[in-house]
Amino acid sequence: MTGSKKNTRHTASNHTSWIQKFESSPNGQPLRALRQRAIADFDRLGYPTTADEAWKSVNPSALIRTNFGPAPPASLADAELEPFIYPDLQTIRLVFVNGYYAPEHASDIPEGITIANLADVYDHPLVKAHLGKLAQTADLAFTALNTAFMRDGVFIHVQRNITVEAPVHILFITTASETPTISHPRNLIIADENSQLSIVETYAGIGSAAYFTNAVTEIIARDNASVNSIRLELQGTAGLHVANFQAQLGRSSRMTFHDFTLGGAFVRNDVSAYMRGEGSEATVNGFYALEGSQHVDNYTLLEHAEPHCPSHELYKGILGGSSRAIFRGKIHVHQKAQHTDAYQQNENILLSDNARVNTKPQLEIYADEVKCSHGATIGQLDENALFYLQARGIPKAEAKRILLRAFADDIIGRVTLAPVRSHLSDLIDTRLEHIDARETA
Amino acid sequence: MLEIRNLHAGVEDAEILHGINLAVNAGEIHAIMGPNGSGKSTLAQVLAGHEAYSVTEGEVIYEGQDLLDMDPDERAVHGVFLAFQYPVEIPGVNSAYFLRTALNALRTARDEEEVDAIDFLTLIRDKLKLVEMDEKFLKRSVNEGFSGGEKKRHEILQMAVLEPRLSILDETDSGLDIDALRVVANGVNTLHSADKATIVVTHYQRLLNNIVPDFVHVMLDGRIVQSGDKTLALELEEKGYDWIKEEHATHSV
Ligand SMILES: Nc1ncnc2c1ncn2[C@@H]1O[C@H](COP(=O)(O)OP(=O)(O)O)[C@@H](O)[C@H]1O
Ligand SMILES: [Mg+2]
Repeated sequence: MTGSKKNTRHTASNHTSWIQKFESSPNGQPLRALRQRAIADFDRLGYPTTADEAWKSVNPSALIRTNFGPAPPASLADAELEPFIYPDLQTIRLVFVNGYYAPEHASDIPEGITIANLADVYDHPLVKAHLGKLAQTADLAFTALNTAFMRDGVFIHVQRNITVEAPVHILFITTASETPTISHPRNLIIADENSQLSIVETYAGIGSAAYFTNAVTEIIARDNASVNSIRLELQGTAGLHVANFQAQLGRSSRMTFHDFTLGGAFVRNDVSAYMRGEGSEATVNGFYALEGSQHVDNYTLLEHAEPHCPSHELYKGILGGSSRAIFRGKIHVHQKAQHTDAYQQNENILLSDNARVNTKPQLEIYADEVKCSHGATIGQLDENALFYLQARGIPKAEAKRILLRAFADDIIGRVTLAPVRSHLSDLIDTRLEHIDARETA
Repeated sequence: MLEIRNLHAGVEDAEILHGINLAVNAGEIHAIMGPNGSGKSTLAQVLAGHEAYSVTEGEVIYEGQDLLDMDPDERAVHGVFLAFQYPVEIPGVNSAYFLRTALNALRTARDEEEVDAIDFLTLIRDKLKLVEMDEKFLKRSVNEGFSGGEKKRHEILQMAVLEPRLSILDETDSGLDIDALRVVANGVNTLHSADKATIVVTHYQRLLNNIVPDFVHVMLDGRIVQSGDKTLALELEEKGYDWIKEEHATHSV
């Protein structure tokens, strides 16, 4: 760290405490070089401030002023887990409580797939070779923190030609306590050539106390692999959630990602798909339904590095109260990525005069044969549609619900795992009812 | 059944309807004609309860009750139906779901039992025949990507399912080819009966060859300036609206 330029932007009082924590961290030994680089990066970067282009809208240091410490290990009763699992769906399940792997809740693991708690497989050659390669720490303060402090999380390796029938369900549950806690879930998923895998990541909080989840997921889909990923973000009302999801796609591989943000006080999602192989295809969709003073940022990057890659991106949001949402959709088409076909859309419905959305596409196109379309809408519920339904006898509240559901179904309907889809459907119904009740109260 | 007395209505600062008077009895078919912009749709929308329009004077009594006091959905529950001049597209809500939800909303409000999916299918198949529509429409989002003619048939389909007592058809004949016109007119005639009333707003007397009105009213600049029987429609067809405009201008001077 000697010689590193001390940054004057450090506004959070607890910034230096992270460095001290790192020095005394018991899990600092394995992957020492990676961690040291990460903490040096964090030391240099500090918490982002609104002076950073990528954090324009919100001052995260204000949000994370609280001195979050590691949580003590906790156990979770089956009943507490129940709301988040799918009885009708056979899954390969791994549960983490307050950042700690909870093997008692894990299910059996079938053939052809390696699944382990990351902390147990630091020496695995694939972990050594790939961890931290996609999720670089040089510019991302929170990814740097995660990398410095990571411990538990999921490592998945699917061997070539294997189709994993049961989806892997990874649950990160925080049982919020009086002292604010932080966890750094870390996942590395590698799908070899021709393999097929579905993943569901659930991030949830129990209780209303403040905590901070700082997650990083790296996915490598090798040639012709297919990875289908769903993320449910159901953090508690005072939960802070920062997540960096980065996928790399090999030749002719396919990755679909569906992100649902329904909880949390502050949520920042970075999602990137790096199409490194010709003909690979990325689908990145998201939905958020917010109320009160929730703030949700979605920063996405679809990086077209090779020719003939289609990408599809649709984010939709419903906002009540004085909630805030930011959408930044960057599409980066490299010079050699001819015949790129990139589609991006962000649509928002504001249910309240005080809710705000800031949406911006960002296109960087260096190839000339490119089809790229993007659009964004921010509006109220369609008054004419509402009247049309009412004129047919449907009461206003019901008419509203129908229109909002139709808006959301556009994303929910794309989730292919039926039990997850119907769970989401219920969650979103409840959520919309709640938001509407607060608007009309 | 319906009595409109000195109805003044408009948007924000502009009055559009300047004192409409109209009485409609059960069993009657009334035609309202008039040039573009004379306020026909405004009248129709006010009767259905569109929030964009506010009533500044007058009253509307429907079956002895103050219609203007009811929410749009209550009006539907009481048997008022408006076939929209421009039916609204509702992406993501399929026609079958929409129709069944509407029917059940009416039934629930009337303390009647809801129709289940199976009974509904039987019912809707019957109604689809009336408007000569294919069952595949039921799976499509309401009005989305429908042709003009399909939208209008879909309006009549809704009318057939909801069985209103007072139907107001706002230019349901506009933009229809002759086949579609026949289908729409046949639907309206089939659904009309001695205990029901129908108001057809139209621009063209062509429709009135198929739906024979008991009364014809001519609307001009937010007023009904002339009423008569079906021969008035023929006269209008022959002489055009200019004739009535001049006539009205001389009268009011
Ligand atoms: N929602 C509205 N806002 C402003 N002006 C309106 C609105 N609706 C109708 N108008 C005006 O009122 C007049 C009558 O319109 P409309 O009732 O649609 O006539 P018609 O159906 O006879 O063609 C027109 O001048 C029209 O521009
Ligand atoms: Mg009109």
